[in-house]
Amino acid sequence: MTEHEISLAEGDAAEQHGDLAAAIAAYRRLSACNVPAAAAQGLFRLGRVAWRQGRLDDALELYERARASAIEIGDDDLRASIENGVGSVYCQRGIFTQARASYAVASELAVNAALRGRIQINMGALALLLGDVEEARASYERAVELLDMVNDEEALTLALHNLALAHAEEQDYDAAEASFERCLAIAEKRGDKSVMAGAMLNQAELRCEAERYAEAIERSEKSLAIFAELEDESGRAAALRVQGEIYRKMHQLEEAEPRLKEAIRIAGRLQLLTLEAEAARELGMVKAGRGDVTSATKWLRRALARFSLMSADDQMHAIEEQLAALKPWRPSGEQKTVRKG
Amino acid sequence: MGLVATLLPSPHRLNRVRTALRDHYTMVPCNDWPELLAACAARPVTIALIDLFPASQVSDTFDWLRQVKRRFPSVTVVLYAAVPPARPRDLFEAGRFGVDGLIVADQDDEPRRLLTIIEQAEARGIIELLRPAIADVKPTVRDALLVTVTRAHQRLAPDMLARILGIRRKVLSDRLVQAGFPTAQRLIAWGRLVVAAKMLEDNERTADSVALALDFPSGSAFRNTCQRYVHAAPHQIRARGGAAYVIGALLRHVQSADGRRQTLPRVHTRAPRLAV
Repeated sequence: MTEHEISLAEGDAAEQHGDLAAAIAAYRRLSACNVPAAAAQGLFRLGRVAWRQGRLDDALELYERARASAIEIGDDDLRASIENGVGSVYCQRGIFTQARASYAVASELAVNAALRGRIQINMGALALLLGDVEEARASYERAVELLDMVNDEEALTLALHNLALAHAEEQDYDAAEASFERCLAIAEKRGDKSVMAGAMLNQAELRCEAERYAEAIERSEKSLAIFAELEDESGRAAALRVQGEIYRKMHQLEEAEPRLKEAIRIAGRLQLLTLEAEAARELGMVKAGRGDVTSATKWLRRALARFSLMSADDQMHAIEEQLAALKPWRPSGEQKTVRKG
Repeated sequence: MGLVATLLPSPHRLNRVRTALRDHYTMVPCNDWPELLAACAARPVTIALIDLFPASQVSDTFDWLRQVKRRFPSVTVVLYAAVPPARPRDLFEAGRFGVDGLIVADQDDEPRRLLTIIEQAEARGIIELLRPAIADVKPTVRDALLVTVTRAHQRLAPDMLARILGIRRKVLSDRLVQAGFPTAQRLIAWGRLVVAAKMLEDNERTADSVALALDFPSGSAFRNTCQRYVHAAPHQIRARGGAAYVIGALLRHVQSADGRRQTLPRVHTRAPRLAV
C-alpha cells in the first residue's frame, strides 16, 4: 500500500467510527501529498468532515478547492461527489434552489451506482423538506434499489430510514414499519447505534399513533438507553419528549410531567427550538389534563412563542385554539377539552 | 443601553449601582413603588432593581412586587438586599414571586460583579430569545441587531449605530446587504418593534402606551409601522407570541431576501438524513 492509500484508509476508518479529529489528521496528510488525484480526494474528505462538524463555511471552501483539482484531473465521479457535498451544505442552510442545482449537476456527472444512490437520498431529503412527499418517496425507492445492487450498507440504512419517514408522512404506517425494521436490522449488524436509536424512536412514535402504547414505551426505552450510552443529549431529550406524549395519552400524567420537564430543560440548553416547542406544548396539555389552567396557559404560551419564532403558522393556530379552549367557562357555558391539532 | 428602574432607598447602594452601570445602562431612579410602577408603564424599562427590605413591613413590599410581576411580566426583577436584615426565608419567598436575580450587599456589589448579575438577569429575557435565532449570522450584523434592540428606547440613527459598532456607515450598509438584512434605518425600526412587541406581552400595556414609551410619533404611527413591517396589528402581535413573533417575521424577511426558503426545522430524530 502506498502512503496516500494508507492515509485514505485510516481517514475513512476514523470517520466511520466518529473519530473526526483522527480523520482530519489523516485527510490532511492525504491532501498534502504530491499525487493530484489523492490530494483532491483529501480535500473533498476534509470538506465532508467540516460539514459533519457543522463548519459549513469551511466545508464550502474545501469543496471549492477540491472541485478545482477534480476538474484539472478530469475526475467526474469525484466532481459528482463534491457537488453532492455542496448541495448538502446548501440544503442544511435552507438555500434549496442552490441545493437542487448542485444535486442536478452531481446526478449528471455520477457514474458509480453507490454515488448515484447517495445523490438520490439527498434529492429525496430535499423533496421531503419542501413538502413533496411523493417525490421524496420515489427518490428513496430509487436509492434503495441502487444501493441494494452495490451492497452499500451504510448508505442503505440512511435510504431506508428516510423512506420510512416518507411512508409515515403519507400515513402508510405498515410500509414505514417495514422500512424501519429493515433499516434496524442492517444498523444492528453494522453496530451503527446512532441510526438504531433514531429508528427505534421513530417506531415508538408510530406505535403511539397506532395506540399500541406498551410497545411504544418499550421502543422509546431502548432508544433512550442507546442515546444515553452515546451521550447524545439531544437524542435523549427527543426520546423523553416522545415518552411524555405516550404517557399523556395513557393518562399517566405523573409519569409524563418529569420527562417533559427534563426534555424542555435539555432543549433549552442546547437551543433545540422545535423540540422545546413540542415538549412545552405537550406539557401544557398534561397540565390541562390535570386541571391546572394557569400552568397549562404558561406552557402553551411558551410553545406558542417558540413556534412563533420559527413562523410555524399551523402549529401557532393549533395552540391558539388550545389556549382559547383552556378558558374555564366559555360564553355559552360549555367547557371545551384541549386537543392536539 | 437598556433602561434600569431602581428602587433603592440607600444612597450608598444607589451610587454603587450608578458606578457599575455607567456607560452600559440608563438608570431611572424611583423613590417609591407607585413611582416604579409608573416608570414601567411609561418607559421601556427592561430591569427593575429593588431593595425589598428597607421598611419594617416586608409583607407590604411583597404585595407591591406581586403587582410589578403581574402588570409587567416582561420586566426582569433583580433584588438588591443586605443579609441581615433580609432573612434566608425572605429571599426564598422572593424567589417564589419570580425574582430573576439577586445581589447581596457587600458581597456582590463590586462594580464588575454587579454589572455581570444585571446582564445575566437581562439575558434571560429578550436577548436570550434573539441570540439563538441569529447564531449563524455574521458578527457585525448580529451586533448591529442586538444594539438596535438594547437601545430601542434611544433615537438611534444609522450613523450612530455604525459609530457604536466602531465601523463606517458604508461598511455597515455593505455588511447588512451581504447578509440579506434590511438597511440600517430599517433595522433600527425592527429593533424598536422587537422591544415594542416584548412590551405588548404585558396584557396591561396598550398599544398607545407602548408607542409613547418608545417615542413613536403617535399611536397610529406605531400601528402603521407594525402593519408595514410585520403585517399585523399590535393585538395580533400580542396574541401570536409578542417578541418571538416579530423576530420570526424579521428572520423570514431576511431568509426570503437571500434566497432561503424557511421550512419548520424538524426534531433531528425525525429529520431526513443526508448522504455525502
